[in-house]
Amino acid sequence: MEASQTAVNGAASATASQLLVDRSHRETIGQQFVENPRMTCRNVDVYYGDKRAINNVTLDIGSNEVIAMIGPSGCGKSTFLRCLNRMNDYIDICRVEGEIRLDGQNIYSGEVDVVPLRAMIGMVFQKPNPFPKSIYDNIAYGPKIHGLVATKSETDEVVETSLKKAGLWEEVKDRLDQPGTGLSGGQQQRLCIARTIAVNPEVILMDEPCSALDPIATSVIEDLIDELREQYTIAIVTHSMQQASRVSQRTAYFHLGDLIEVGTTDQIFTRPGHQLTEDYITGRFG
Amino acid sequence: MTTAKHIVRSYDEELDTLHQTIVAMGRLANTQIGEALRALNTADTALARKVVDRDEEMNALHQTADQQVLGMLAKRQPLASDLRVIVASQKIASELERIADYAANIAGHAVRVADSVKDLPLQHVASMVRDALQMLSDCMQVYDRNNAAAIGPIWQQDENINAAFAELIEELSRQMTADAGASQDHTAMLFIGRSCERIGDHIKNMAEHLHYMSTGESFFTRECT
Repeated sequence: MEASQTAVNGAASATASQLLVDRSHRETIGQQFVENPRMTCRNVDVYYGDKRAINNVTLDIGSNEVIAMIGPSGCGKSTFLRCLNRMNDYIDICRVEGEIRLDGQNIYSGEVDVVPLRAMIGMVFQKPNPFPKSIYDNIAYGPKIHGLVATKSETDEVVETSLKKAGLWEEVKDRLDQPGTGLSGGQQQRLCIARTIAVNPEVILMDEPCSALDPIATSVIEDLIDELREQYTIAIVTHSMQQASRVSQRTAYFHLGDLIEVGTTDQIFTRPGHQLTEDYITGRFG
Repeated sequence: MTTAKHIVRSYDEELDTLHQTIVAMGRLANTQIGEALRALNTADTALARKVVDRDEEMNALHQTADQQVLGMLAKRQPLASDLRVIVASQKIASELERIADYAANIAGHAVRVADSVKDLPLQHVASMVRDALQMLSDCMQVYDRNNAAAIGPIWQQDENINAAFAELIEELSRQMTADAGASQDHTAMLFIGRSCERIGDHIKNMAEHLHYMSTGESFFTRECT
């Protein structure tokens, strides 16, 4: 490296700990915005009755990215995730304010039908929840009710394609008529992912999708997430920081309902900018 | 602010143990360099051999540091400042081990030139060692306090060592031309000078690792043009 092209940081630099934003600062720092957002969330507040669970969250979710949402229990990361496809509509006392858009359209607009919305923004839950039906019917059900298939052969094709995308086809192709609930935990979760894929989503939300799985099944799902990113946008809530660091390109840290910091996953896990992020990911008392 | 304790107390204990190992390696490196120079200056072959033998202690400490680092990487999956401290400590341990190797080299050559030391240009080596010891001491203070602010001067001080080495080479060239019969001693002095110069380079590397440890950023930034 030529001397003229370099500058020594050392003389003027302070330590990372000195540069960290103070714990009392609660406005989001980092990269909230992206150049190619699939979803945009602006000033989102979520209330459960009088209690505010999410405070003024502004965040973009980029096309074909995996964004991980991390934070301690009760920080609001799952609440926020559930806002992204209006799953909180089921909770009577829950109220969402602010704006959440998918490809520019406000998903909380009165014109939006939540049924097709939840097909476009699918969700995979912590515990695998296959329907008490055959493996085939678990996949075929969604495309049928959404009118995406008209014939048996079309349905067959969707079932096969979805199971292949979820990496499950080879394991179940000879027993499609058997109950989905008879599969192992990891297979059931991949079945649920296949079920989500079958209705052509734009975005897949995952709420701790591997927390009930063993390390091998977890690795399979993580590998799948990596493949799915080529076609879909994925937002994942996880308590495993190792998982967040393995599967995501950006990471968002939530704390007591505030979005504290967003950054590239590399940056967040090697040199976070906020003291609260540093405390959490290093396992320190704040 | 990062002085907050880990929730898992044994993690803090393991980090502290690694810290103590690196500090011990730093102290030993300091002793080895200083005693190698003293052995050279005073033609003390017994002291020189002691320095050579003591290199094993440094190798053992290096192995210990490696084991401590590997243990924490495997068990703790460190992140952020912890990750930087652990990775930087491993790299610093390697630099210190190499520094001690060069100190042992100097001591080995000191034994060879002991009979003719009064005729050799020792002042340049003394100057290099003085700078190296200062740089090493400053680095170990930075490691102890995790404060990158003091690193720039350490890094730049290596230029003094390089300049003194260049002067030594010039002086040796003159002496070799004038007295070809002493070429073995002069060659030994060249190796001693080279060892001092390499010690400076390794301490400079330490400063770079310390900068990363403290800030999470590379020591260098490429100026945008």
